[in-house]
Amino acid sequence: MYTEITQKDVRTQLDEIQVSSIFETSETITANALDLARKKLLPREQQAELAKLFERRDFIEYFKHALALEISQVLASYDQRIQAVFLFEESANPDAETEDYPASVDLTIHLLASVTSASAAFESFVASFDRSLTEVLCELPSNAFARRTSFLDIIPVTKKDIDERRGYAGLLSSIYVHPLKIWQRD
Amino acid sequence: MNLTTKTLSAPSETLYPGKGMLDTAQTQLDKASDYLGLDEGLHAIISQPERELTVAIPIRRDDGAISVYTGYRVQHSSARGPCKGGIRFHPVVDLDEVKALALLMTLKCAVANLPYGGAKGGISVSPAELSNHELERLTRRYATMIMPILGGKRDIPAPDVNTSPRIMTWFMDTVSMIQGQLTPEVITGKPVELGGSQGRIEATGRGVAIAAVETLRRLGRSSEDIRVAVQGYGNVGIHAARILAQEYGCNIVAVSDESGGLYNTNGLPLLSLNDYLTHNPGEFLSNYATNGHVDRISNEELLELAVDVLIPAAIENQITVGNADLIQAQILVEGANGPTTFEADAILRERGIHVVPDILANAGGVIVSYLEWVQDLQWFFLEVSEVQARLQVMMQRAFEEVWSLSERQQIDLRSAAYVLAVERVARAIDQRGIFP
Repeated sequence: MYTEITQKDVRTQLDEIQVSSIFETSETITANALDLARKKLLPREQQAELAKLFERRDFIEYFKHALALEISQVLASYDQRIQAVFLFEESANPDAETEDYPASVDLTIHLLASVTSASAAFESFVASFDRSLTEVLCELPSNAFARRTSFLDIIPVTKKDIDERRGYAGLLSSIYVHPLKIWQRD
Repeated sequence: MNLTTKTLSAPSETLYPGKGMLDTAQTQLDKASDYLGLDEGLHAIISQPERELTVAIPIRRDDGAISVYTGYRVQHSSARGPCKGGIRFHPVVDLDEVKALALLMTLKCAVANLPYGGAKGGISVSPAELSNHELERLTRRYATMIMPILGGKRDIPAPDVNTSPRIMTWFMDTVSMIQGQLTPEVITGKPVELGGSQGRIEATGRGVAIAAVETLRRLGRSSEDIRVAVQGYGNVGIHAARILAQEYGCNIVAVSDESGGLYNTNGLPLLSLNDYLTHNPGEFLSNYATNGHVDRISNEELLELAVDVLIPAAIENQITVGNADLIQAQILVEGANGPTTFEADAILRERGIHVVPDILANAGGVIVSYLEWVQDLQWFFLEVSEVQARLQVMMQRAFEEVWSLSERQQIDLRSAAYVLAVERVARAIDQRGIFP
């Protein structure tokens, strides 16, 4: 049966993530994302081998989206300064009259993390998280993943950055394409 | 009607006031209208979309439930020809956004002197939350619901955010099934096998390269050995860099993606770099093995390099008040949409840096969309070399017209592009008259 992938589907146990278990966390969220992506397929397609599924662009896109939701939960659990997380596509041109649809899926997960203040600890955590996640994703049965050395592109932005449209924070006042809010602190 | 242009000194403001989307587009129009001394009635016509359609799109989900999505199609102007503009699938699509983008499409088509008006459409939906089959049903139902105002001589959609050639094909197939005949001209951005155009993938990058070379020529400089930096080595930047290097002899000294940049003052090994990216799709530049021959730099450092031509081809708002004073390039060609903020644009102008605005610089894509439509109407398809040649002629002509107006009126290229566009649309409305 079809199941919609939304943030509420992401397991709430992630709130209790410990930094020391970041590798296990990476394994858990990858497994969750794979489950959620499979549920997007027709019932008869859901049992296909993972290697076959990774040949499908739609499955990779579902997996990437589900993984982004999981990652946003991990980030928010780790750092209370995070107020919201936005997903964006580096390659999404706004006006595809001026750019063609990319031939392959960009496997990098691009996130803007709206934070109350910048923090070196956060950046350090992200680097560590990226290493662990990359280690897990490289084991997936797909050459596209195996060759990668990084999957996370997480950019912290402050209110000042957003107000002044500095760097990637400028995307949040984009005239052409808006990042997608995938998590917000209550 | 009065289309006589005023003699202007350099404007104290650009056409990017940094407001909300619809306000921004409207202000661009208002400024250009002021420059032209445009008749109030004509201004009133151009200020509003001709037609707005909102549809409630029901689809049957895979689990049997019914979901209803809101879709839009706005036709801003058909004064110069059929309306043209993309369709986007995104959760925050709303009517104001679609209206603003439709207006900008009218102006973009007019700058390139294409026989098109402007339009835009979209559905408020997150495609990642739909299965493939649900997405197809949504696309086909939306196509059916906006079909009364579509057509090869009425309104021709195209891909936009989260809409692909596959979605365009569903769209075309739906219209074709209902009309009982194949109608490839109803939409552009299709796969080549189904009436798409050769040369589309590189079209925007090629247009950017042509804009850069034309600017150099106007400044009395040869393109040979010109030093170029490209921020955003994606679908636009990669082709612009390749064409500038291979066909115009430019020296690409720096490129970057979100992972950072590569720099070599003597020029980058583009063949090796592009080969690496071709065989490692989605890989970062930062993982390219430089073997010590190339320096790694940040995106910020790339923007501030001592180069002749800077091409921001990544995302919006990259040149800001924070770095506008540090830009060393003589020419900035906007491959991306809106890479320069309103405030930064003013600083660059005061510093005498030539900014080729996005509305002109990245028009190569819509020009090749036009060529796709022409081919579909005639059932006669061009070789890639023919598409490239026609694109070159059309880009050069558009550039010459904007540059000449800029020189005559002593206004910056961005202002000139908008003035030219508004003048063309106004003239078409005036010549056609008001029906009945």
